[in-house]
Amino acid sequence: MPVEDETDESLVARAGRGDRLAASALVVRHTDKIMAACYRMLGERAAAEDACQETFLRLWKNAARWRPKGAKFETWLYRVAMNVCLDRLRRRGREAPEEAAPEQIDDAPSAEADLIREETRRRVDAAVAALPERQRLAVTLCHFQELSNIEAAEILNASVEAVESLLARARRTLKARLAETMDRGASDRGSMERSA
Amino acid sequence: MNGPTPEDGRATPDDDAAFDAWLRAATSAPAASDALKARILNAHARTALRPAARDGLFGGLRAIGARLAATRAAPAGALAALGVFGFAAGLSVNAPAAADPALAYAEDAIDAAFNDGEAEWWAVN
Repeated sequence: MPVEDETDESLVARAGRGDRLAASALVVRHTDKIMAACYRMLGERAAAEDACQETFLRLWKNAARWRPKGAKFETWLYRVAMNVCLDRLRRRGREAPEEAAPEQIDDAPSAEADLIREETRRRVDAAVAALPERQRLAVTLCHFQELSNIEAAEILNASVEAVESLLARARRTLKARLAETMDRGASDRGSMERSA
Repeated sequence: MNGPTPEDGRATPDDDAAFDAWLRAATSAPAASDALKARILNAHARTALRPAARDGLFGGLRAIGARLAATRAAPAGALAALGVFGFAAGLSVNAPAAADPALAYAEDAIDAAFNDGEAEWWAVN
């Protein structure tokens, strides 16, 4: 059977026996999704790469012993990744906050739409980063990774109703925060245009 | 999307479904780089070596052989790594405590010998 058609479970068993092709097939299949989820949780590329690597390291260490217990492999992997991210966020919270590096100002000529889009992206990232941990997890898994509420509930070890409630609260908070910052951004742009 | 879009800088949509779509469109996450994938695969090779070493010299040699076949490592570096690994695996049979640092050294030597091959293998595959 070609490796692309093999199930995750079979690939994990082979990777646990040291099979490199099986390991690389798992990497091809899952790294981008895990990287994206880690980025949504941690908000920085370097930190997301470290968390993604640690997630796979935990997979390799457990691969020989891993047995499906009801949950799909991907659900298990997301759960590991989210736990790695939570550990890092809590450690980050305990450490003295680092002084943020100054934003690089892009001096290349750019269309206004690109600038607005970049500004919007920053606002959304900041609003998501400010959500409480559980709400951020639910938003990351359901909105950004587009998992079902059932899958998110398995990953979060919660009921589907609890996930729905987390999503509803997160959506309300995000809407309020974004409406406020988008309005402020629009009025800032308006006053800049008037003074230009 | 009909209502506001992330490009127009207007306020977010009120409707829940439209808001979710707006949220997804507003941001993007970076894909995993090839370097990260190579590091992850390298970590797999390292973790696969330890249980193999517990099987003694033969298991270790077999693991190295499989890795050698899968990459394009420089033969001299691979042979050096093979020698160190053999020493560590041999030690692990008789004196496991003493073999541990030797095994760690062997793994580093193997990584150094294979890293270029890993990157190249990933680029080709």
